Amino acid sequence: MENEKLVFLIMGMALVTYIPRIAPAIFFSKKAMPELLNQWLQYVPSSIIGALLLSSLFMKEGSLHLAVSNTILLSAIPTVIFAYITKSPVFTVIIGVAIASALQAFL
Amino acid sequence: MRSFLKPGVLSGLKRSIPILLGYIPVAIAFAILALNAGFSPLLTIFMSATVFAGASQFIAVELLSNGIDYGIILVTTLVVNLRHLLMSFYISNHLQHWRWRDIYIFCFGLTDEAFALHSSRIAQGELLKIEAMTINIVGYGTWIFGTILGVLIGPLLMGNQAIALDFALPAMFIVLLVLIADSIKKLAVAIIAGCVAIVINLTGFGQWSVLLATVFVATIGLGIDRWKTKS
Repeated sequence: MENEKLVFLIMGMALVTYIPRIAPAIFFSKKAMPELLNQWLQYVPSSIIGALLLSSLFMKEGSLHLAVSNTILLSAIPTVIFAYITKSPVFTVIIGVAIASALQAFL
Repeated sequence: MRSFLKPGVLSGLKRSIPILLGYIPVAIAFAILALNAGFSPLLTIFMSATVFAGASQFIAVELLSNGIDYGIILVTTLVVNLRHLLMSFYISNHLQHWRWRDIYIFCFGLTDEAFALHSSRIAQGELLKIEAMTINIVGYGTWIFGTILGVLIGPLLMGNQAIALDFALPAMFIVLLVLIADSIKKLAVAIIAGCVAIVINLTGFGQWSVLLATVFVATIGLGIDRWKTKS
């Protein structure tokens, strides 16, 4: 593979990754946000995390994965309960990974 | 020990544990994929150190091994990363008193997982600068460390899948969502956004799914709020 050209491609990728992460912060971090935008923004975290989470639970390689073999989805059910009871990220993740490992071994 | 560390470092380290567990296997998998596609070990590590975006790194290597044009790869990377506009936009509200230098460093590490951790902190009160910086730095360090590990002994490690670390990040998103969505309305927003994202994924526009689902659902949420206050 032509390494030199690849270095430029990678640097270009770094740039188009960094720009969306930094540009809004440059424009808005030192300004007061209009009230309407603030109201809109309050839904952004739940929405982003919901979109990322449900896609990772229900999808595999671009299609729906609804089967007993989807141990990720199965593990999510007890993990939700643990999350509600403990509200502890570290504890929930450790229990969740343990459940997923067990399901993977037995199913 | 505690007195040597600035307050916030320890809590940042503790909150980073899920990212630590989740990033290492993904970084190892990326390294193996890149080496198989003909990347040199050095270029593989260089990519993780400069791009620091899991999904786009996988897609780029995939496209490269299919002989796709560099221009298309760059556009695809940009589209995949457009969702970070929303994250940076949301977080920018909480960076008012930060120095510019810190903002530039912090935003480099604003991955999906770091964003989820920061928004759960904001839901509990306010972003703590040192804790937030620690989380991003641990994430970045873990990503590079995992890539190096993958380059060195990747094939050896891939055989061992007894521990389902691929569930570490979904489990983290679950618990952070429980912490963030503290009202029925926010929970509904999360579930509807998830469904919309899945539908967009199924229509073949997966790269746009998170961005479009969020803009769509947040706008509807705002619309309902406005309509309620008027009536």
